[in-house]
Amino acid sequence: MIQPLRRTHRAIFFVLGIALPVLFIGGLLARHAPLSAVQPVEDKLAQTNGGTEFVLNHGSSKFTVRLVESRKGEAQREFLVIPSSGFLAPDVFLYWSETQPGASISPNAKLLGKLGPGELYRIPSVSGGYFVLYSVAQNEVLGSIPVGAAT
Amino acid sequence: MSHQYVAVGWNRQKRVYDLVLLAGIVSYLGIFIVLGNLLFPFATAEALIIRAAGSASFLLLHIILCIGPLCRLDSRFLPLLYNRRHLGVATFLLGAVHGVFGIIQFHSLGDKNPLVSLLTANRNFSSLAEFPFQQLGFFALVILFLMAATSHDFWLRNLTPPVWKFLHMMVYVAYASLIGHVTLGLLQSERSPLLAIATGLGLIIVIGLHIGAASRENKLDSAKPDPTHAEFLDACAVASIPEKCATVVSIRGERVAIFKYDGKISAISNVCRHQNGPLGEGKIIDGCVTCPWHGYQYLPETGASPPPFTEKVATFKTRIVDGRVLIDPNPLAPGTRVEPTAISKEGRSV
Repeated sequence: MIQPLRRTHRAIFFVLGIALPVLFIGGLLARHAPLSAVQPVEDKLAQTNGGTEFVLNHGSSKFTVRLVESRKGEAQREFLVIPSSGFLAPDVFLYWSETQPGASISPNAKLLGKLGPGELYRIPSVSGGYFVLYSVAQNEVLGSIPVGAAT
Repeated sequence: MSHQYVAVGWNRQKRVYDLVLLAGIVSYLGIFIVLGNLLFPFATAEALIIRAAGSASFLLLHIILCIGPLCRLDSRFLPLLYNRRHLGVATFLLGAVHGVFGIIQFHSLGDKNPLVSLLTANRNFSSLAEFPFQQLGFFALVILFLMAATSHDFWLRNLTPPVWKFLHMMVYVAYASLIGHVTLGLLQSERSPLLAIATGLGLIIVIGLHIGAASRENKLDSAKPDPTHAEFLDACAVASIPEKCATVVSIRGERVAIFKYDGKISAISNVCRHQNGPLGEGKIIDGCVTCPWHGYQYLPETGASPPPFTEKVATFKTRIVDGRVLIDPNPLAPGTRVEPTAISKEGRSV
């Protein structure tokens, strides 16, 4: 290389030597913490006629899901599961699991359908369990909502 | 040399180079996809192709960026540099496979043009964690495309060397964009620390090698020849120059390659006219100084390429006194003949 090019290279790598590690470390520090599937439900915000809101941890941010029981039947109960507008993950499917899920979906979990507003999800009323929110795109359990047995 | 253009000036070295490159890429993709299928049976074929091609392209770009400084630090790496442009083209092609499959997978099923969707779906530029990393990858791919498309000597000649060199130094912008693409994309959702460690290690190696090589070159540039013999400068010992090779010295900020061959000494500019390759790291083959980068050749006594080629580099007058090579710091016009200085047994000019 000729000397001007060598000088240019030195200047470029002086800048890159500072900027890229800062970008790399900054990017890693900004990562959302992994979702907690063991204790996904932080608290119940409100018991209202419009249902029950649950706050699910998503690293440093949170999102809410509102659970509305629309009908109680003898054999089955029917729910609306309404995510907040700031819901982060795409392609979220809803499962019903009688056991609390870990990091992955239980083999016995039952697929109820794609999560979306206006969808009704039916579950057996005889025992309690968990609605499990599962992201197909991220291949992970986003959180779970406990549902008690029908009284 | 460039009296005519062909797509690729094939020779045995280039064929071996490309075969090794092809075998390496095919092996990497095969191993990645087979292991991916075994370890992540839920992963779709498209997802595996996207990841395999993307990681192969990123890895190749690291190798490309390491070759330059490695060659400056140790000449044994020079064979890697010989056909580096094919590495660059392969990097672009793999990146293009990654990009095309990614666009099909994530942007082609909506009601927007996939490219419009790619560029506008995420505009969250104020957040690192949710930064539109796909745009960074697209930007890098555009640069890699321009570099691959103009890698032929035809473009070097027609764009002019300064424009061509500027365009190809954009590889550093592409690299920075890809570090952003990976860090703000894949690493945001990846739980295993292995990929973060590998990316960080690659970054350290690339930057470390470039800074190390630049530091070494800076020392050579700032070395001052001893001006003890009137207008001639003391450059080096005759005995320190290997036969049919050169010693490179820095004179007034520019490098001069002093070649020893057949009992003679000649000095020419160290900078090849083709792509500024280091002539002093080449050898004398068939009576010509041969650039280690792409094989351009110059006659040592004139600095001119043998006919029909037309490239010329500057020449320098030399003397030998007490076993030392003295050199006139004033370069002669490129292609000017300078009678080689013969080496006597007593270590003086004959």
